[in-house]
Amino acid sequence: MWLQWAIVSAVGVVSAGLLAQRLVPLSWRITLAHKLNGKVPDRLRIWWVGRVGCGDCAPKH
Amino acid sequence: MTSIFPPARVAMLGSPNCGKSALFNLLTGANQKIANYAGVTVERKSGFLKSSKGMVEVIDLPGLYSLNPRTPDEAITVNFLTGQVAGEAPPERLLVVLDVTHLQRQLRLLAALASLDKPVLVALNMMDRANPAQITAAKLSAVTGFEVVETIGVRADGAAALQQRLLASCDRPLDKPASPTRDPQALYQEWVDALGLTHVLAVTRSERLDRLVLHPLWGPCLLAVILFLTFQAVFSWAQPFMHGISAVLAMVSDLLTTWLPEGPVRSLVVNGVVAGAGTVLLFLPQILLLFAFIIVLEDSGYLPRAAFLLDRLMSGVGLSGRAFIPLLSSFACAIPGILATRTIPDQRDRTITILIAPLMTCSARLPVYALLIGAFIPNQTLAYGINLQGLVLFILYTLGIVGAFGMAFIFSRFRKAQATQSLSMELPSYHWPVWRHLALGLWQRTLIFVNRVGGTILLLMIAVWFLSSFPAPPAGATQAPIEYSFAGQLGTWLLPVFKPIGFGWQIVVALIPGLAAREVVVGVLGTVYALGGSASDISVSLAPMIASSWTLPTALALLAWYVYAPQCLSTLAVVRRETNSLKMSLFLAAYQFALAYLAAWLTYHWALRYWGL
Amino acid sequence: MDSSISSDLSDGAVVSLAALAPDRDAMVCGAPRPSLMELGFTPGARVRVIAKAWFRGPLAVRVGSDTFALRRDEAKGLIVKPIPL
Repeated sequence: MWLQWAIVSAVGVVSAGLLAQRLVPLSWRITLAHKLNGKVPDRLRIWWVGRVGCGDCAPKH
Repeated sequence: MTSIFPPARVAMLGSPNCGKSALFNLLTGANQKIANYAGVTVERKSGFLKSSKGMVEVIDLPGLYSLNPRTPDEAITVNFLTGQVAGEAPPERLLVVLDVTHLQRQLRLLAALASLDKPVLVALNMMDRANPAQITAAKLSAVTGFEVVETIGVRADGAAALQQRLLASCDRPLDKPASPTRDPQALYQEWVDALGLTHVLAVTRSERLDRLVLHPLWGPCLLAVILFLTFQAVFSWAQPFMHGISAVLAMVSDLLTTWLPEGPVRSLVVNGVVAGAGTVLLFLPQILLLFAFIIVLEDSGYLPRAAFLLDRLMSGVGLSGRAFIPLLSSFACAIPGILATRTIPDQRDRTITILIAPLMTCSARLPVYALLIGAFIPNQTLAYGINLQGLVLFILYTLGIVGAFGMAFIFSRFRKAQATQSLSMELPSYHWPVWRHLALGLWQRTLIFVNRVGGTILLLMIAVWFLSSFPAPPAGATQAPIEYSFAGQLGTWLLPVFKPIGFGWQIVVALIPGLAAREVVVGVLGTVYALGGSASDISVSLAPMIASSWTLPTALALLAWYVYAPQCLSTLAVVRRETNSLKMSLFLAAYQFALAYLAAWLTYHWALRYWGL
Repeated sequence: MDSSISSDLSDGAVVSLAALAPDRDAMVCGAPRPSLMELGFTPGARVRVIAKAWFRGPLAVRVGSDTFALRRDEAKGLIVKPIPL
C-alpha cells in the first residue's frame, strides 16, 4: 500500500512542477531561476524558464 | 562569402495573396499555416538553406502592396528592407514572389523594389494557373532585366528550380547595379507596355460566381445557409466517432479497474486521467469537423466574400473592415486572432477588436457546448430536417457574435473616430480547395489538440484529482467523500456568488481550472462526478450523470455563462502584451465577467419561469 | 458627394466610383489617393463594379486582373469616366 502512495506522491510532485512551469508567468520564473543559481543544477533551471508564452493552442507563437 | 561569415540574407517579399508562404515552406521545409486571403502574415519567419559556400537565411516578410506602409505589418517589412529594424542588418538580396495571374498590379511593387539597388531574384508563382500564351519567365526576365524562375506553390516539387537558382545566385558575389536607379512609375509603365498587358477586362469565372455570391440578397442567404449547415454537420456527423471514442474509453476504464488493485493509484488513473482527460478527448471529432469547414472555406477563397457581405454590419458597429480576419481567427482560438489585429492601422479600432475577439466562440468552448447540449437538448428533428441540437449550437455561436458586435458598438461610442476606416480588401480568385491543405490542416489541429490534452489538460486533471480526493472524509461522514476535499470545500465556499445563477458547487469547482484551459471544465466535471460515484459504478458517461443531477435551467445558465465568460488566462496575458497595458486586460476580464453573469442570470430565471420549476 | 457630376451617364461624363452602375466599364481619371493607386487604380486603368451591397455597404470592384472590396467612402473620392458602350 505504501508503494501506491509513493507512486501517487511522485506523480503529484512531478505534475505540480510541470504545471507550474506552464502557468507561472515568465518573469516570475526568471526571478526564481536567478535565486536558485548555484543551488540547483543548471539544466533544471534552463528547463524551468524554457517555455516562452502560450504553446498550447498556437505553438508557432 | 566563405562560411565563416554570417549567412547570406535573402528577404522574401511579395504582395499579399501571391502564395509566398507556400513557397517559403517548400524552400525551407517548415510546416506552417497557409492563409489564402489578404493580410494574414503577422510574424516574420525565417529558414535556412545550405549552399556550397555557407548558409543562406531566407526571411519571410509580411506581404505589402507598395513601399508606403499602411499597416504595422507593412511597416515592419519596409523597415526591415531599409535596415531600420533594431538588431537586424538589411538583407543583401531580395526574392520577390509575383502571382502571374495578377501580374500587372504587382509589377508596380517590383518596380519600387528595383529602386532599392539590391540583387533581385523573381519567383513567378502560380504557373499552374497561368495562360501559357501570355507571360513566361523568359519574357519577364527579358523585359525587366531580372533573373526570373517559374514556381508552383501548391505542388510539392514546385519550388525545386527556385531553390537551385537561389543557392546559385547566393554563391555569386554581390555585384553593383549597372544602371542608375530609375523612377518606379516610369519603369512600371515601360514594363507594362513591353509586356503588352491588355487593358480590357475580360469577365472571369470568379466574376461570374461573384454575381451570385456577392448579390445583395442571395449573397447573405447563401452565407447563412453555409453557416447553418456547418453547425448541423458538426453536431450530427461527429456522433458516430464520438460513440467510438466513448466506447474505447469505457473499455480502458473497465480494464484498468479490474487490473489495478484498489487504492489511490487506481483512483488517480481511472478517475483522474481517464475520466478527466479522456472526457475532453471525446470532443476531438467535433473540433475537427468545425475546422474542416473553416479550412475548406478559407482555401476556396470564399472568406473574403463573407467579409464583404458582413462589412456593412461591421462598419455599423464601428469596426474596421480589417477586423474580419482577426475575428474569424478567433473562432479557432482568440490568441492568433488578437495577434492578427496587427494588420489594423488605427489604434482605436485595433483595441476594440482585441477587446471583442474573446467573445467569438473559440474552439475550446466546443466541448462544453457539446457536452451540455448532448445531455440536455433532445435529439429531435424539427421542420425541414433541421436538427434541434445543431440549432442550439448555432444559436450559441450567434449569441457570441451578437455580443461581440454589441460591445463593439458600445465601445466605439467612447472614442472619437480618428480617420475614416478603410476596407481595401482583395477578393482573390476562387479555386477548388487543395485537399492536401485540408489533410495537413486537420492533422495539425489534431496534433495541437492532443498535445493540449496530453499536456496542460492532463496535468490540470491530476491536480484536480489531488484536490478532490484529499483530505479524506472524517469517520462517520454522511455525504459523498468528495465534498470534504479541498475542491469540495472551495466550491462550497464560492457557492454564494454563483447560487443566484443556478450553479452547483461542482460547476464552481470546474470553472477554476477552466481558467487555464476552457475545455478542462468538461474534464473536471468528469473527475468530480466519477469520484462522487460509488466505486463499482465507474463509467465514463458523464452526460447522463449530469442530465440526472442538474436541472435544465442550470444547464442553460451555464451555457449562457460560457458564451461570454473570461476563462482563459493565456488570452488575458496576450492582451496585456499586445496592448502594453495591464489595465486593458483587467478591463477585459471584468466586463466579460459582468456580461457572463448577466447572461447566466437572465437565462436561469427566464428558464425557471418558463419551465415552472 | 455621391451624385454624378452629370446626370446622363451614357455620354461618358465623369462620375465617382461609388455612383458607377454595376457591370459598366469605366476608366480612372484625375489623381486618385496614393493608397488606391497602389492597389492599381491608376489614371487610365479600367474598372468595373461587380457588386454593390445594400444600405450603402461596400463595393466589389474589378481593376486590372484583381478584384477589391472598397467601402463607399473610399470609392467616393475616385473619379471615373464610363466608357461608351
